Amino acid sequence: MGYLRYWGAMVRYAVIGGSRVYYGWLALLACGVVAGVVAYSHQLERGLSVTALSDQVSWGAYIANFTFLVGIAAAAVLLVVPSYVYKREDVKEVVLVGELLAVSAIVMCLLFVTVDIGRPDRILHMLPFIGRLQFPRSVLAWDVVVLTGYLLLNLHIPGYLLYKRYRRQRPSERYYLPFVFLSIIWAISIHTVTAFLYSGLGGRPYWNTAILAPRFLVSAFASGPALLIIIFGTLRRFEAHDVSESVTELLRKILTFTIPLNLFLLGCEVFKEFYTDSAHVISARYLFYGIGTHKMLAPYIWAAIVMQVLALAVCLTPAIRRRDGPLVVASVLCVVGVWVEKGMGLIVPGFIPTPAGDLVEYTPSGHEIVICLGIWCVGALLFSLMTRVALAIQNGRLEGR
Amino acid sequence: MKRRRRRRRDGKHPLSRRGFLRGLGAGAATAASAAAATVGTSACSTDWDKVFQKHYKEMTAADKKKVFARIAAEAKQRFGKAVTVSDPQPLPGVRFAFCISLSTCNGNRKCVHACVEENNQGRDPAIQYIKVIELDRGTLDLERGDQYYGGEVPRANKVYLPMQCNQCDNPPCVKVCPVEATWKEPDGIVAIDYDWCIGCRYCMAACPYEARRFNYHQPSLPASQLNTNQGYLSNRVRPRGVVEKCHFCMHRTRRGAYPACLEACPTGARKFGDINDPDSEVHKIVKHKRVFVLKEELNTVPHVFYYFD
Amino acid sequence: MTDVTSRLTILALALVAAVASGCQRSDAAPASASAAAAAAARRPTRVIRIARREGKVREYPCLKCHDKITAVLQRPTPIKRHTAIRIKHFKGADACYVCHDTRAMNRLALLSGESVGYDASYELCGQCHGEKRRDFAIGAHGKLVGGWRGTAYKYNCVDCHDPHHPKRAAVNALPPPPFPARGIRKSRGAHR
Repeated sequence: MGYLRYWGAMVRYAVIGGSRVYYGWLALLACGVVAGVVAYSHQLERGLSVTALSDQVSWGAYIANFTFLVGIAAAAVLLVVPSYVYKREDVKEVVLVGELLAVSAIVMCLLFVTVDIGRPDRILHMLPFIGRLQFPRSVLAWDVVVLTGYLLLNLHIPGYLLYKRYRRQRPSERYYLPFVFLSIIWAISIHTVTAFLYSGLGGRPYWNTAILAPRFLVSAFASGPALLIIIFGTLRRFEAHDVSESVTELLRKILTFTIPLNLFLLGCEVFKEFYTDSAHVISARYLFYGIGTHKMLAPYIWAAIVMQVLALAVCLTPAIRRRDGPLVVASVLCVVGVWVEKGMGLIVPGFIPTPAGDLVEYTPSGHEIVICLGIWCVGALLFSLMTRVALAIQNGRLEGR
Repeated sequence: MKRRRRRRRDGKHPLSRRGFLRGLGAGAATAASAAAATVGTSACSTDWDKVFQKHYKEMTAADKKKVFARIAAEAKQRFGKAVTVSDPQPLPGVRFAFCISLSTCNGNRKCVHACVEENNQGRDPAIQYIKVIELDRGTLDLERGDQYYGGEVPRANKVYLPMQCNQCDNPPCVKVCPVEATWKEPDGIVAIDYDWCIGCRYCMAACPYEARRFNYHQPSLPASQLNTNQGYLSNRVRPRGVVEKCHFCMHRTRRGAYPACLEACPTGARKFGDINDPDSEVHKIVKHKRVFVLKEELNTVPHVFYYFD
Repeated sequence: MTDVTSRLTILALALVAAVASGCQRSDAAPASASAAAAAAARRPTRVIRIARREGKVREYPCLKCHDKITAVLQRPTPIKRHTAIRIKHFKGADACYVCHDTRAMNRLALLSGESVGYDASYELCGQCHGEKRRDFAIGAHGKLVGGWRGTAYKYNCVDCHDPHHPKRAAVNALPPPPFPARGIRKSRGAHR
């Protein structure tokens, strides 16, 4: 009964008494969600034919966003480790935000997978007992299992801590610390498994590379902290929530390692492709230079590299690197850069050329774009509501009697 | 949209009770129960049965009978034609293989179109299991090939390479399927349960031979061109949103016939049979000719062998 | 804490073991020797017959008109009365009796002097096309009809190749698949 009242209080707090900016933001997101739902209902009715996908390029924007968001979810570990393992008090105050970001990202991931499949009505086939989940043989089955597990872990840990805080009780380490350690390993594993999804395919030479999992992790540890810097900047500005400067500083320091490392790994891949110059170089050549007059991805990948370099430059320049404004701009550049590089920049060239040597380009259709936006809005909405409540409980603004 | 179409169809066939029930939608419980009272309860359970239909390998003989009858009834409703749905079982000890002579194939694409007609593929947009790739002599690099050639064949200094599912012994597509909707049968054919596939298309990404095709649309098929001899795992009309591919004409070959593509081939470039039988053509070809398989380095162990005679 | 770590290690090891065993799983169950023998016993004998040729030839039997062949092959063709025949074969084929038997009019003559019926014309072709003859014998060359099990029929060489003009004519290919909406046309060297 008390637990129900707790939920009631949280829901009430999430929707009542916010600022105008907060409501405007929620309304904007709600519009995006509605547009996405409408577009998805079209897709349900007319099938995946509303997408620009084809037999040649059979995965596109949905899977690209999925891949990127698994990284965001995994990056929560960068707050979890300093907070729970090294007991840094400043990080401990915002670790919840990281965990809730992970929850939102995983929800988005699962939604992206759901909209990508041709028969969402048969999702039951993945359930134990009713279905036939091919675990552990199929990496996709692994991914579904680990993502669901990670979602549960990240719901349990902040959920438990917040409830205790709400009830003004001391949380017992026995009920959350083991899960924290599990979630650290789990975070690494979700993104590794996602990389294995691609790198395990011998028929797709562009993906069939051992460097993919490290690349995924490093790029996740670049885009994740960057997104957190943006979120903390926003919280300071609009929610008047005082996130310690030292946390942003920690994240910035992480960026100064992960962005160059990410570019380095990308460079290794580029060297291997172009110096070897084997028959398989076509994918990379398409990505960076295009084939003939078809250069759809080339401007994006170069822009992504430039964005990451600029972000790195800001993070390293002493005059501006501690100022919120430039740092947020740098973080936006970093997030967008990684999103392009490991989203469409990774998925689409894997299909060009096809195994039978066909060359077919891909740009998402209007439906795909709106559905993707809709899912991003679902994630952002979920995150905004959860974060508002979580911060209120943590700061003692929302307490049980 | 779909619902509206069904209503119209119901108007034409007032006695179609399943269509009637579906048209009402699942939500109209009272109407449905009233209808059930008048038309009997068997129709009521069809949609429910469809949702909870078992995986092919878990079906009992009774389940199969029911499911095959449902598929036949759906085809009857859609095409106005009586179809037979069966699932001939693998023959003991048989391992099917294809051998294709690249000296003989002249790229006329008769196999491609015979396959489409035999296997009830969607016509628009066209789904084809066989791709014939025109290559310059001196290369087998598929990336330099052309599958959209037309006009008079064979052209000088070209080789034509028909490509379809290789029915691998180590199939990457089977390994990746998250729900075991595709698997390897004892006679080597990689089968798909179209009623179990969730349409994630991971198998399409995994296949090194681009053999798999996805039904982005409801497959369009004129009733006049419907092949009524249908197999559950092979050429029955596919639903939208699932993956399909060449199955060595399972419904024919498990009864001793040649696949449709072989029968249609005017050059005799295609050879098919049981590779375990020392008297079969394919066994002798693999034994006596210098055969090769596509992308051998991937260790997929394909069972479509190519040779020059 | 160490307790937790060790438990996690055990869990991780268990997962690795599960993956390893999963990857080892093979779909094709190896058939035991006895099962293979049983299958072989059940297997219908594979018989391949050569499709009959006599009766399919247009101007046959030759004895209807000829009692002997003497004429040296006329060039340029057409040959008188055999207006459909165009000759483009090997250089030595400059007389009808190179292949047709002058003694037994309804038969063909091998180089050895032996005479074979039209049904066995592949023996005649095989004199020069030895490799094709061997491929024909094992079923690697020549179309088969009837099915992969039990009895099948194999086309004779001349069912597909006109013996007087064995190179097959070019044909029009059936239509290609529709070019993908976003496909890139390949021109030679475009991506090399």
